[in-house]
Amino acid sequence: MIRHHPAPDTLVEYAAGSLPPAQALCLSVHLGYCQQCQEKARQLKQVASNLMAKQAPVEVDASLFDRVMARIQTEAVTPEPKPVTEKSYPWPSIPKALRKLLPNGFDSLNWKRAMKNLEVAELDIDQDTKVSFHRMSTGGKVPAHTHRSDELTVVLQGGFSDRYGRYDEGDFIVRTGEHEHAPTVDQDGDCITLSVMEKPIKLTGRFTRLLNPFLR
Amino acid sequence: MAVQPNRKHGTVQRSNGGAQSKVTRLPMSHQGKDQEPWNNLLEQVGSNQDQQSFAQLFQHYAPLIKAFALHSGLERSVSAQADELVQEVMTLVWRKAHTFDRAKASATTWIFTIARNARIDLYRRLSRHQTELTADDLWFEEQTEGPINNLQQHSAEQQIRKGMDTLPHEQKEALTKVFLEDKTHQQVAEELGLPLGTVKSRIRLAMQKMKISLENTEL
Repeated sequence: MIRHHPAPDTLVEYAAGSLPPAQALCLSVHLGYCQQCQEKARQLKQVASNLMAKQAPVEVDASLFDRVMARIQTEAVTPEPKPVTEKSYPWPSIPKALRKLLPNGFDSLNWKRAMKNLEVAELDIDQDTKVSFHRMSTGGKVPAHTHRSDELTVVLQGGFSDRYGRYDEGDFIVRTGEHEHAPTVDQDGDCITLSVMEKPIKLTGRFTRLLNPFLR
Repeated sequence: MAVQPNRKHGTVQRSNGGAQSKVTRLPMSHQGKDQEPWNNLLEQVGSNQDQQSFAQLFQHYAPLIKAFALHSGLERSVSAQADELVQEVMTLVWRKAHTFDRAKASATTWIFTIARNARIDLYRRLSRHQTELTADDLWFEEQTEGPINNLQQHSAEQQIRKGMDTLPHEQKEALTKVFLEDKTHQQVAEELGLPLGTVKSRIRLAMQKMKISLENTEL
């Protein structure tokens, strides 16, 4: 049962597209498990598209139309290839949002032992954030630790509990840098989660979008 | 110079039979209410690669996508980025039209999603953050498997449109900054010199007016 959901403002920023990409991925994963949040996200996108439709239109040069027509006319009329998720994928328990990242399932990842009962496999999604899969051993207890930065976690398989609560597949968990916890893993199997953290070089304890002076 | 696609002024031939129904050019504020013409055109592009239909879609949506691009400040750093976005989005509309399903979302919402994701990808490219994952991958859209309650969905959409028309200025402003100007709640707060809580509250109130509940029932 899912008990932990993204906050309203996180859902809003997801629908708007301003959420940092690694967090957006976590949210997409959660939506795969959660009909309630899926419906909310859908309505928020409706709000966004209404706002777009109500804007004062800005004139577009005719040459732009010509350029687009030239481009599409030279393209072969073949539909886009089917996404990876529609081909037969041997791990039905892996969320669709992650299948492109995991063409060979969890076992093929480069797992490294981080501490007792915890293995970590890192991904390269974005320069500001550390994105990794965590695998905690069934029935095990991970030693108490804090994270110096905020962490976003989505449970993908199995479950665990700590002093703050219980966490099962689909749960979307936000922890600040001050939280100290010692997760205890459920007995019925390893627990795999997707974790997103700011890289240690960042001094602020909050997720911030890259403020590129070139862009803003 | 405005786009001049080759078509009869003011009429659209419906694809189902001989009866011609007139679709007049409505003022901008009403166009959100009538999705039928755009859904039809998009389906024509998807099933028949109909270039006339595509030209009409272009005439309607390109200026909105350009406005969307300008709203998010794309033009400020590198010129012609707004045009780049329009080109990218309309090309994708052509390529993906065969995946459009009016039962799942209106043409406008479908096109908005492409525009939003293209904008994200453009920013990532500009800031050299590229990985092989695109916005479509990261903002992954589940294919809803459950039965779609059209009546409920239609009524929800009506309430969003009605509610949006009655929003007080400060709520509309907050929504615009978050959804069109690509700003986080924090950035809006900083820009307007308001506490973060005030911005969140304005968005929440706007959602309430549109009968959207973002709170979770289990908490």
